[in-house]
Amino acid sequence: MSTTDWFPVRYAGVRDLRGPLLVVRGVERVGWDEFAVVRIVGSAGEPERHGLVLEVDHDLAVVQVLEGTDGLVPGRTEVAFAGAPLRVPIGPGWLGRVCNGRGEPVDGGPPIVATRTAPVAGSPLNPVHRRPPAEPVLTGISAIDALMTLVRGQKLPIFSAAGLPHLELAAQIAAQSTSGDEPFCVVFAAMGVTHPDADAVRARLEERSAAGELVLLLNTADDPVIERILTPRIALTVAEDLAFEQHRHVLVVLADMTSYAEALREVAAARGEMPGRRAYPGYLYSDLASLYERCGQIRGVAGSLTVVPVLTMPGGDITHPVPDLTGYITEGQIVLTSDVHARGIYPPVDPLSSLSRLMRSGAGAGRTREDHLEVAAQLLAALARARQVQQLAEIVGEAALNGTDQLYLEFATTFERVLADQGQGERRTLDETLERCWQVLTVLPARELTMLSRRFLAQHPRPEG
Amino acid sequence: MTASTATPPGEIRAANPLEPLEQALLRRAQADADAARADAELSARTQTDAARAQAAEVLDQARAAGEADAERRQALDQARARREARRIVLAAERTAYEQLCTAARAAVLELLAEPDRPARLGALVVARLGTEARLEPHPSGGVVGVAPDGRRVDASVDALVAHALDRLDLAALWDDR
Repeated sequence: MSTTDWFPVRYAGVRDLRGPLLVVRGVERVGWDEFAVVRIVGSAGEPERHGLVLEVDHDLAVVQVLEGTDGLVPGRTEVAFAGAPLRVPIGPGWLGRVCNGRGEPVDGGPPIVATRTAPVAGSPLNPVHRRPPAEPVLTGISAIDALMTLVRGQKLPIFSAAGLPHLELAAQIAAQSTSGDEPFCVVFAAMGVTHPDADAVRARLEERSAAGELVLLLNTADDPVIERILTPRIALTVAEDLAFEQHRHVLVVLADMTSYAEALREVAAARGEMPGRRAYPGYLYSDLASLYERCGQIRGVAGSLTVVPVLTMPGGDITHPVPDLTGYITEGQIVLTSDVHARGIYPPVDPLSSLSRLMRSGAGAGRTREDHLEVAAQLLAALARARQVQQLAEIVGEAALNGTDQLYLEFATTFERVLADQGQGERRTLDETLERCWQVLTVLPARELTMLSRRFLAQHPRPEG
Repeated sequence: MTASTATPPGEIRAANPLEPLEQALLRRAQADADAARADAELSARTQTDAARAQAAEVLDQARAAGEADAERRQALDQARARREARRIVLAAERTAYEQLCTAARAAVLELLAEPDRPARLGALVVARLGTEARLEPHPSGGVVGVAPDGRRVDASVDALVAHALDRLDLAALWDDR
């Protein structure tokens, strides 16, 4: 038994309180990012608060209090330092639980405790030990499964804008996704969401939660920003254990990463750091990478960790630092657009701006279906041509288009109506999705379907005329 | 016209030059009437068939809507039942955890009632804070050490129990996953 562990020293030398910050003097051997417990002396019923060390200078430590400093008084506040950055309990006890952004249960159950703990910062995966992706994660959403298939171990973000149903889509992906018949679970971390949104996510994922296949972390918009920085790290730490120690295939949904980046900016400002682009800290890229790169698969170890971060592009600007830097790290993107949303299509995916870079590794013969890649390529080629035709039609008018071009316009409409549009509670099997793809392709004459093998065309006879 | 030159009525009837025309008009009127009747019958039949088909369609739609509604209600009921079941399980786990805390607190108090235990606990606290630290009893049992510079070490029963339970494999108590 270590006396340091059992009897942590509490420092009463709180010199100053500034907003969420607390300055403690007389501390010894306290490190950067160390976790701290803050308590009001002589208040038995008052719950403990928690904090992170933002700055250390000689015997002074600046602690940001997660729950805020309301009610704290310098003479009556004491701080105990954990001696290390935050660690969280790990294990299957997380499954089926609903917690706040700090990992404390909000579902009326007991606290989550376990014999094993892990640092929330995680340990980077050795790139040499990574196993190349090869199997799909099927979301049950046609537009994604058909055209931008998610692959185990991949990081595939959803780029959205304010007012679009990205949270609904993220929740639908979390509720419906599967990966073959192997053990699968989801860790959903909501960051900076409103209370109604948090409720909606919780209700949508109730079934998966009751089945013990979900860990739900809810950090709402009114929670402290420092907690928002911990939330994705706690989610990924829990997920890493479920994936690589418990050998499950784990999907981590992080929504919304723009809220996370804004929290990071706020904390960086509190630390007095040099602001970079749009006042985000200069290390935003490496910070995002330290989260996204925790996904993957390890050679010789069953289980995988797949990440779907959701981010809103302020003003729909894809060059904004958060989507821009995310795009450098991740392996493709699913782009939602207000144009498609305005036409009443859900999910409002723009197929020509979206891409899964690992799709070729996880789709096709032996993985999804042998005609999948050809069908996807043909659909995308036809959609690209349809877009050109739409632009041409805006200049010359639809009546001036030749017969084939008019068929491309019809193709684009049929694509949205038959394939892309889907109910928020509707789960489509891969076969159903691919059959819908073929149905959409019947709009075009056979001579236009140059990317499909004759064999596949023969298997899908076309209607007369 | 005068009475001496007028033709007797019987003669006119016997040799009506317009009779073929009348007959032809009559036949045509009859044929038109027959055609109109046939058209009306066909139209009535078509409309009746269409109405029947529409009624059947409406019936099918109503049946499908009813079934979908029933499925939706059933899914909602099932979700509510699952939610309630989950709430009961979590509440039971919470109760078990609180009972464990109470039992652990009683066990620690029992240990501290042994003659040399409080002194040993006090020695551990002094070892952390230095010999100048003073020990104060805590209302829950155990002691709190306070150094002259204000540093404190909480060795109360509450703190010891919380620390011990923090490292317990709680999930193993009720989880067979």
